[in-house]
Parts: sequence; structure tokens; C-alpha cells
Amino acid sequence: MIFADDAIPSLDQVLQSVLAGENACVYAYGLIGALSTGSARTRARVGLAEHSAARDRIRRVLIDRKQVPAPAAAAYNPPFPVTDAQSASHLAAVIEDRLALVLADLVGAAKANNNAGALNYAVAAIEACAVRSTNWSGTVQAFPGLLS
Amino acid sequence: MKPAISRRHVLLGGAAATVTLALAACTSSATPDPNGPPPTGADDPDFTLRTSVVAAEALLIATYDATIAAHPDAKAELQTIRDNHAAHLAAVNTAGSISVPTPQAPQIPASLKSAMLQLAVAEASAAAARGSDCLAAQRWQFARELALVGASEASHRALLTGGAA
Repeated sequence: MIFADDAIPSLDQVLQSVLAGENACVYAYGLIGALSTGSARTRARVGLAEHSAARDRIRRVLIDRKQVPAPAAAAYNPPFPVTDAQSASHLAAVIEDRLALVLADLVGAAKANNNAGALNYAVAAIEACAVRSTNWSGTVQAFPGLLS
Repeated sequence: MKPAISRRHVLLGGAAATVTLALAACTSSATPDPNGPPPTGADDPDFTLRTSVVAAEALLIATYDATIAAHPDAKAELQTIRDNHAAHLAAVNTAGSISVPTPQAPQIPASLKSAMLQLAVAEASAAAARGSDCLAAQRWQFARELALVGASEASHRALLTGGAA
């Protein structure tokens, strides 16, 4: 038992949280790419592309569900100063970990609402998130994002 | 989005003072369930699934133990992953009510490279199996846990195959 047993999450609310997370990741990866060089820069480009695609997909899902996708903020403040390649790598690992937790909520919400499409998406997306986090940090966690 | 804001994981605050946002997990908490453990034994619709996950994690742990014994130089890297699996097993084996036969570790290749590849393949299979388990789970809470376990196993595979910086 690693989570508190909360009320069944609303699928639309969780989808909006995932969208907010993807928007934040897209912004963050722009910053990360600008501060990175070499293979890290390539990894940032790939991350940006993957999160952009995920954002577009979640937006489409929300629209199909007759929801209004919340817009991205114009800019975001990182949780700590991001000024060089090292802090940029750390930011990348942190945002991936936090998105993994939101995607865990999506797994729960999709399951609770019997939504196979959202469940399949979330299961694949959370694995991709944890892999990106490890590729940035070089470390692994038993429950990605939970204790970080 | 019931939990108070203090329980949320806020990633990036908006530049404008009015926009505070970003990655907020609405239901996640690292604290133990205050309402007690989920149903166990016959009450648990996921008992059979839990048992199979416990067996799978026990086999992974035995495989890591055997690999570390055969390749002690790799202990530093492998012990962390092995301990992740022990945490997975403990989380899934609610209230310690599930016991499985002692697993038989596979033969460990003499070459460290081959031994690491064997572990990477095992992790890839485990991650895929946890994904299927998510689909099969009855309780959404268990599916959510299994998703994180599978994500962890996918990241193990990434680390073992040297994707890390």
C-alpha cells in the first residue's frame, strides 16, 4: 500500500492535470534544451517532441469528451534556479517524476471509470516518463516520483 | 481534486503571480493509508493478481541476489535495483498475507555483460507484465500502484542497458 486511499478521481479533472503537466514539461524542455549540449541536448529535443505530442493527444481527448482544455501559462517558474546544464538535467528528472505521479492518477481514474483508452495511454506514458527520468538522473526509484 | 494544495506536487509556478500551476498530482500521497489496509485474502478481488505479482517480484529479487553473488563487482549498481523490487513486493503483499514458494533463480551467465543483459530482459518483461496487470486489476487503487511498479521496472531496464547519462 503506497498511496492513501482517496476518493475515486474524476477522469476529466485528472486529464486536465495531465494536460497542465504536459504544458509545464513542454515549457521546461525548451529551457533544458537551451542550457544543454551534446547528447543531453538531443535528449532534450526528443523529450520536447514527446511531451508536445502527449500534450496534443490529451487536448484532443479532452475536446472529444466535451471538455475545454485549460490553456498553458505564458511562462513557468522552475522550483529552483535553472542556470546551467547540471541544474537543467535535474529539472528534467524532477518534472518527469512529478508527471509520473499525475499519470498514476490517470491510471487510477481510467480504471475507476472503465476507460480502456485512457488506461492504455496512461500505462504506456508512465513508463516512458520513468525511463526519461532515469536517463536524466542515472538513478532509479521503486515508485517513480512518489518520494522525491 | 480533493486534497489540500499542500499535498500537491507543484512543479513550475507561472511567471504571473496569478498563475500558479503545473504538475499537481491530485490523489498521490506517500503517507500510509490512514483508513487501514485494503481488503486482504478472500475479501480482495485482486488477491490472485497480487499473489502472481508477489511471485514475480520474489523471482526478480532471487535473480538479483544470484547475479550479485556471481558478480560481486556489480553489487553497487544492482543492490539499489534489487531493493526497489523488495519495496515493490512489500507494497503488493498487503499485510504480509501472501506467501509464495521460494523462487529458483535462473542460471547466471559467467560474463558480466551477459548477466546484465539477462537482468535487462527480465526487467523489460516485468514492466510489460505490470502493464497487463494494470489492465487486469479490479481495484483502481491497485492499478495505480501497479503502474508505478511497472514504470520503476521500465526505468531499471533503461539503467541496465546504459541509457543513462
